[in-house]
Amino acid sequence: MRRVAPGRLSSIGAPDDGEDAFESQSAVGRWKGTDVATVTRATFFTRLRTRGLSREQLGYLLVTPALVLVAATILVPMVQTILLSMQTVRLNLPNLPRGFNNFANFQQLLADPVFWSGLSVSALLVLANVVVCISVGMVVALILNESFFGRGVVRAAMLIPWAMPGVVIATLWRFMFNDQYGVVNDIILRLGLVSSYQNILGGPWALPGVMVAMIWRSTPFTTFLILAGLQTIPPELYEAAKIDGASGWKRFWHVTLPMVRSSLMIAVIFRSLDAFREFDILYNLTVGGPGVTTQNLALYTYKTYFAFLNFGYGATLALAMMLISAVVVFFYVRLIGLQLSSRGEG
Amino acid sequence: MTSISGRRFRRRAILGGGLMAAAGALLAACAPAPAASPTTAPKADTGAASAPAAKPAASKEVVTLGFASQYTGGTQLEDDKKLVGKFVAENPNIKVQFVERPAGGAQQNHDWQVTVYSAKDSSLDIASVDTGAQWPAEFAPAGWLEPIDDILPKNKQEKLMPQMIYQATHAGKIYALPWMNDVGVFYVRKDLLEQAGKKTPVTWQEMVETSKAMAKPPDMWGYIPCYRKDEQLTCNLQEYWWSNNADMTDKDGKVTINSPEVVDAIQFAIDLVKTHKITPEGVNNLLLDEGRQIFTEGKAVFHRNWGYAWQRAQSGESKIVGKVEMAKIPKWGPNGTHVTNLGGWSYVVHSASKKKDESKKLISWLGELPQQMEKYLFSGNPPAHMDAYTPESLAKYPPEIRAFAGPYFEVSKTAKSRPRHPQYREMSEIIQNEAQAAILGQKTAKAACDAMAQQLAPFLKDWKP
Amino acid sequence: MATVDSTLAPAATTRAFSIRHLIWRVGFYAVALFILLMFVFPYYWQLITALKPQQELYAMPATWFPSRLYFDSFVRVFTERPFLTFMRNSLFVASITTALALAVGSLAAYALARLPIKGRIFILAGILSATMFPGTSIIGPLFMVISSMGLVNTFPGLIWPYTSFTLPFTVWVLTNFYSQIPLELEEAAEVDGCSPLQAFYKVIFPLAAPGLATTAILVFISAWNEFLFALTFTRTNDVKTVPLGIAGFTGIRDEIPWGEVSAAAVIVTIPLIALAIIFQKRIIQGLTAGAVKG
Repeated sequence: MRRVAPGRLSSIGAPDDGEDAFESQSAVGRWKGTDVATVTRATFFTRLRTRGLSREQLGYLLVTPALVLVAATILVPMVQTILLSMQTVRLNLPNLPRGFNNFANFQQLLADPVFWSGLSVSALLVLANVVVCISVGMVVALILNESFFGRGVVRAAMLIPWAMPGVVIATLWRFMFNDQYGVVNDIILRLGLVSSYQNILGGPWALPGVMVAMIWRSTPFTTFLILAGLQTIPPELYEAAKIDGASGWKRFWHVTLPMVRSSLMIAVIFRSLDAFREFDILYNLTVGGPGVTTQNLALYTYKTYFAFLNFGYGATLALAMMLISAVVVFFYVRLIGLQLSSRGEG
Repeated sequence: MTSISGRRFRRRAILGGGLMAAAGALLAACAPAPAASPTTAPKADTGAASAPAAKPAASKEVVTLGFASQYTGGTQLEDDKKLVGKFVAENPNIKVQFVERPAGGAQQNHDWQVTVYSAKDSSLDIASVDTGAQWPAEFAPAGWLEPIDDILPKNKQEKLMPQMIYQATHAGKIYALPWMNDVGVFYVRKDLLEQAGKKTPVTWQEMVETSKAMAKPPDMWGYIPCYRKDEQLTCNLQEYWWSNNADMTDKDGKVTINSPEVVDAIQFAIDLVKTHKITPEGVNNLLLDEGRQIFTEGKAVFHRNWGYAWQRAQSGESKIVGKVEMAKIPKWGPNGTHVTNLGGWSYVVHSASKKKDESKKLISWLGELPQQMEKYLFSGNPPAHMDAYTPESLAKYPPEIRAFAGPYFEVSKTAKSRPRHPQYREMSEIIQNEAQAAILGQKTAKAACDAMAQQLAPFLKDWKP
Repeated sequence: MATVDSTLAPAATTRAFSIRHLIWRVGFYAVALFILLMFVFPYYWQLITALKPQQELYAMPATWFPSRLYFDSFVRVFTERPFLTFMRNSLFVASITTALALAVGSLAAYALARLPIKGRIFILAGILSATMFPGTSIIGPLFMVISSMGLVNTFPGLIWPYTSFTLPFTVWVLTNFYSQIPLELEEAAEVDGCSPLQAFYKVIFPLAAPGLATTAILVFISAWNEFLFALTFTRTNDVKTVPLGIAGFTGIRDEIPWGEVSAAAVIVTIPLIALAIIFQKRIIQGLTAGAVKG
């Protein structure tokens, strides 16, 4: 790693400050260029050892930078969000008096129809995503768990939606959903589902349209999670069930499903959290329109912050999002935490 | 003991410090160097971009101004760059770097600009702002704009559209230099009306009757407004209810947006699509200029747009060259009023700019008559300088533009401005949300207006028109 | 076990069974093909949109095969848009983010996997929760901090939040990778006189290299694709990353130049798809390992 970083520095062309900082702060010295890779590392670690840092101390030392970064970027803003949510702060009215505003933002939240519609859009997106991604993902995972000609191709193809930027997915579907030259209209017209071209993203079908794009992107990841679970099932279980004369369906119901239950749980939690925080696709596909029919809480929070510059109320919305996520995270951490602690002991 | 723990402490500091220093060094090295980009800026810009921060700007030192045009792309942006290029050629100590704005409508532009301003990002010196959508009413009290009384004294202000000067003035100081005089125009296919033996409609109701007689969707629509969730929707709706002698509030600031007149206006917007079927459902999602394309493709009899659409209708891409007429925005029945919505864009200087003098010099130059007239010709956006409409000036335009500019100027003097409120952006969004819900059939017009009234009440509590 | 025959159809030799077997097989391949189509078709559509001549984009009904291949959209992406600059910015931001996240993350992960730290479970749980929270829920205060530090519209203003946001994931996945390496190897190294750090460097690190590579790919892709922070913290083309650049493509008056957008999308996704295909097993393993096995 260290060999990479300074090299990159010099190739970027302004290494001077960085190296000065190294020299002045590092008692080891000569952390320059290739020296780092060859000489310094060895002496540094040897000294470290001879000076006898206990394993525990070393552990804290290694963990600290990561914790500091995460705390500074995630934890501190969380606390700030809580503080902001109790004040009236508008960046476009800088002279407003600051200070505790008697939970006015929370009263506003409860009476705000856009918040409630945002919450229901978020809930619908989560629900549709979880149900469709998990069920389609299950089928696809079962298929991918078999070996067949072209399995690698299918699996690689599944990675395409996962690897694409959300912006690209949104523009792609926006063009496919176009009310005049979109291919989706062409398909549904040919299938006889509609009698004329529909304005999908501008009408009542906007939310299902958004769901399709989100599901298209998320199903692969869900599939791989389930697949990972499937692959842990020992083949002997199936053999045993077969000997007992269980049909394919029964084998699925009594062997497969119980064995992948924990993967499914985790997939549900992942999907819920991902769908709940969805922003890229919505922002680029419909911007929440028409009306507020596709505006979820994330988009509304973003707008309140950066279009209306209402940082007090924006923080209140953000806090609501945090609390909702926290509930889901809590279950997840418990689920994973159990596995962690059991492994820690064992 | 102490010495050991001391050494330990130092060692910890060394490693921690080293890591932090490494991170710091990496971060320091990645400060953007716009000049280094081989694809964009020529070498001359290179030094300029980084120089001002380092040394106090001497008079002959080259400075680079960050400039946000109204245009987000295409030939208009290119032409705008050429226009500014003339100024740069005359002022060798000033370079201009165009800052790209997001596409998608005036509101997204607004949102982009306020994040720049609230970050006190000094890389943006000059911007073109939507005076009609009350950006100056938000930006000036927020302290983001530099007063420009020194380059725009009263005698110069008198040459510019008075309503725009009014919108640009706050607490006795002027903050924005108007360059585009934009008002709503009702475009009419006079050739089709003649063929059908119809007159240009004076009221909305006549417009509906004429449209129903002439429309053959999807090849020929009656009326194309813009109902996309953007400021455009609010503008269209305001014209409906203004023409019905109604408004968001009465003179005392009492909320009247759920009055029967406004409800009728919203219902009218719905009926155009749902009942009369003279307007395509797609207008709910069409960009302003996509609607304009339907009209200039010859697929609609009537169209509501701004001044620029005239020039588009006369250009090579249009299939209706010479077949269009401008008319007053219809009134609401015999007792209604012809009202057009005041739009318009102005130049402002960012208060966090480090190059205010040069910035003012540039916008002052852009605000002069010849530059405004030149911009009119390449963009189709009519100028805010009133001398651009004198007989001498009109004589300099091509005939098809001359024919439009005179009457347009007269109409524009009567334009009505939107509520001058620092949170107009948010208020407008409330109107759009509820109106679109009504247009989609999720709510009745009455329910939508009641919801608007409820949500707008906090904004209008201490506000008077 | 893992063949179509053994699990989906009873292994039998009679004629009736082999017909059933055949139907199974056909049905199976039909479903597999359908899935393939569902996931590939939108991408195919993107590709042909990029390759269609301008007028054909607006044909009604849409044409399913371009009448002729037309590369103008690809050319215009580079000649008329600062797309190379966007690519370069993204490459830079994503690489530095990856390097930093791996440097800081692998040390922490090693400590969490191997060294006796009190409150290890709490740290891990905290780190895990941090990956789960929506970026939107902290973007406001983060914007205030970043703008007050003058980091708006700079590369550090992006790299800092990217690193911090990918770090929990990095630590989590790497902890998992390190834990899978047999402890005995390390103990042997320490018996030979290595310090824990040397053991890490000489024994664990090489063994964990595949894990590191996988994590690097995942971090790189997530930084490459990131939109929310890029939207909030960047302004000008010399800092904008690819997703923001593509989102900002416009035509003459705000309409979307579909050909160019598609061409740009194809160009940026090709490297990702190549990565995804080459390292597909690794990626899938990395994506799921952290979540499933804990």
